Amino acid sequence: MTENVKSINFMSVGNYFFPLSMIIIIISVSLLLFSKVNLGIDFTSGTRFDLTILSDKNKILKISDLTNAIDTLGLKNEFIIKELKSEKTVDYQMFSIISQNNFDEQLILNAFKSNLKISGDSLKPIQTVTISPKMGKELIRSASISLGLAVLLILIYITIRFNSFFAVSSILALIHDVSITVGIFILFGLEVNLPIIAAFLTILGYSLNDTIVVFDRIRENLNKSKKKDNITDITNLSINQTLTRTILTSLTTLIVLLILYLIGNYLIKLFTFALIIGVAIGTYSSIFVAGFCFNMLYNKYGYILNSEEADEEKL
Amino acid sequence: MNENYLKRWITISSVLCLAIIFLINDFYFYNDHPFKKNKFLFDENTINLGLDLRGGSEFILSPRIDKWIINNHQADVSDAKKLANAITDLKNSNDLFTLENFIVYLNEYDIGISDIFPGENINSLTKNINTALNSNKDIIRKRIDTRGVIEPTVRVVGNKISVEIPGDQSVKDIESLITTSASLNFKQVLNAPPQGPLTIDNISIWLRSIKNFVLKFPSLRKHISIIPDFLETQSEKIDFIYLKKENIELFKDAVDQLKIYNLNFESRDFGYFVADNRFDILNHQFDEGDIWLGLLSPVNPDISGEMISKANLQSDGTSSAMYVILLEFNSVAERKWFNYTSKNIGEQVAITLDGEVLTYPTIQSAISGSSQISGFDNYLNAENITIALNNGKFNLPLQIDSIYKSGPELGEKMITLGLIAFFSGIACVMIFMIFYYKISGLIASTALLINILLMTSILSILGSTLTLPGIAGFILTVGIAVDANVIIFERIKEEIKKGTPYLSAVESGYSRAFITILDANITTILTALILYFFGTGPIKGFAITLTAGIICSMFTAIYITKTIFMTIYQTNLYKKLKI
Repeated sequence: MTENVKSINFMSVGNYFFPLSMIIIIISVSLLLFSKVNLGIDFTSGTRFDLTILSDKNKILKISDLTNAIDTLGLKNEFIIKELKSEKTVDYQMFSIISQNNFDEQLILNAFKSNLKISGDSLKPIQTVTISPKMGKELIRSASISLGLAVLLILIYITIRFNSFFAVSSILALIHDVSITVGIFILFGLEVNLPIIAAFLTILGYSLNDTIVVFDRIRENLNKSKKKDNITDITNLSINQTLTRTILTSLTTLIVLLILYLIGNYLIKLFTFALIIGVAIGTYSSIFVAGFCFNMLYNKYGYILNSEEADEEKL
Repeated sequence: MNENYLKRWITISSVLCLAIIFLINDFYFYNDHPFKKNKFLFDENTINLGLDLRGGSEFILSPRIDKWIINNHQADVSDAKKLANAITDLKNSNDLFTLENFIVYLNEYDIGISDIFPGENINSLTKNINTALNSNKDIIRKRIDTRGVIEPTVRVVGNKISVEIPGDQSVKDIESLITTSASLNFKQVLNAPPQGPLTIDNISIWLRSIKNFVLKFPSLRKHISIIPDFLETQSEKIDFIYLKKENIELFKDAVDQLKIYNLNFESRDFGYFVADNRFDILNHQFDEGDIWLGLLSPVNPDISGEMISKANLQSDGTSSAMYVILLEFNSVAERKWFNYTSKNIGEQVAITLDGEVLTYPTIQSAISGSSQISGFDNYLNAENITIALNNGKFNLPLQIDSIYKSGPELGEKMITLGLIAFFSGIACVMIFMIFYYKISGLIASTALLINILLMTSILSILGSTLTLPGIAGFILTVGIAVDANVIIFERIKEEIKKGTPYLSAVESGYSRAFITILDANITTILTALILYFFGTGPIKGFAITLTAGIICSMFTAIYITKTIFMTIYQTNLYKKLKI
């Protein structure tokens, strides 16, 4: 055992963090069950038209202005208009016009030109997406299956490569990471679209990646240890040994994500935001959820494993 | 040891050379025009820019399996009702209408797929559908080429068709051009909205016949709209029955299902007439897209679009901006048409396109030679129909799954920003690594650059499409790529601290780290694979860049940097350098 490694006693700190994390999981899961998730048209189907309007410094456009302009068209559609405030600059405002039924964005542009007294050049269409109800159903199906499949495959893989204590602990960490990220999205009413689901899956992969590095070290130290060694000491040691790597990798990833966030457009920003939360929480959970949980389980039930090994030795 | 590391350098150099060659290939392409694909050196695959980067539209179309089954089935009378029920059940359920699901629902009625399609099984049918899909793709390609669209991409992706129209080209009316089945038919009119002078008699005859027929079928009643007591004669009040635009598809589907087994439809079928305001109904305006019903003969005359050899669009020769489509028949059809028109003077015959009546003139005299469809005031619409008639009809009806239109604003800015993000990301990571690991950091940074070269090359070989999420994935991989290096370096550091000599420290560092890296990366690759299989276009791109990035980073981190370390040992530099 190395005495000159500066050892932080993670497990004792974990005594406070772990219950806190569990509470946050419960809050997040209840948010998921009882509040409405802001689903994008990928899942709800419909048409969404995003555009920027060059604004007059004196006149800031309000959603009601746009609604009134569209009403003059006398269309049967019901429109929801949102302003993407994160994209607002001194020069322009960005709006999203959403409807369950298809509409021609050219009509909308014409209505704005005539009613809001804006020239054609001030209106810049960014993108229009139409998803049919059938496609919306398909996408919900794919998203659910992929999330379910990911969890299943991960469960199988970990159980094969590590023992069940590790498996349970890592699954707990994954639930922690994804539910908190989803919870934050729900709390702030952020839109969940297909790329966000992809971000969740990436978070799963990344968080697991991180957890496995720690577990791999714990496993190695366990194998090297003797019967009298305290599991908490081993866990602490392993985490300390992998600390440099954990911090470095998270840092490089976060730097890169931050750059993407600052520079990206509104689509990329949301996607990157999810990843940033996921990476940050994933790093935290590898130590204070997965690591702590494993430590706790091994302390309580580790004798089962040890007796199994003893039986094998006898044979 | 000597030969070992020489061999390694040779392998590395060849891989790098290949990578560079494939990339130069790409630059050669993009030199003049982003759309052009003229010559190529080695591979015809390049990295394509996704629509969100270069602007354009994409339509995703999927087959209407239900309609295909209804049009092509050969169920006998005893199985017909069960077939119709199976179709209704599947449609009302939450399951998608695929061939596989259809068979499951068929089995609920104790019939199998071979009762509906004798001699076929699911594999042969899937093949048929696939062939029809590909034929549709070719037809769509011809149609939009005729329309003059520049550089479209029409391809079959899985069981769907993707139509990409790059740049700022107007896609007005393209939707109908690519989805119309172009199924043209001539059908004798049994009952239709009166043209010419309106009398209470002819209106009431029409409305009464429609009402009597429609109300026989509960499955149709729920989709119709009614203006009650529209017409009052001396003996009765007659309701005006029509279809609102949003109910048309549902009504048609219900009719299709009835046609499977209901004998009433052997002698007559519904005609769908464009509603207008000729009846001057007080307090009621028909909206655009509303439909009036009529009854047509499904058998008389037996002339359809396949017998048309050519369609020509012309202005109608008058001063008003109206157009006509001239139809030239083939010789068989010409004779049929002549015979029919000579025997049916005074009758109305409807010309329908995909079920909707374009026109229903009264036969004035026997017609030999070509025929014409008149009354088009919308040039684009008439042009679309002409193009569709000239390029073949779909055997497999299609529907639009999604439409994506990206304005030019998004793309240009994004490419620049993407590049900025890319280079700043790399710069930051490199600075970081060199600062912390010093010389090893420099080695890791070199590995990172090689990594990026390899990744770009792989993307080029695969002919992948770069979208905004794809760029994000690429940049994300830069952040993750250093992970492998960090794991290795930490191991080596530990070994050296324990007092292990340089070379063995490197060896054991790499071998021990390899297991960790493998375990850790496999899970990320697993999620990437899932993303690939279940994701749509941009997400697939993200998954590919992620996977390519991880594999490349493993190669560079494990193979290349080790070679560099070994070289340092060989040249005895290691004594001077700080690791």
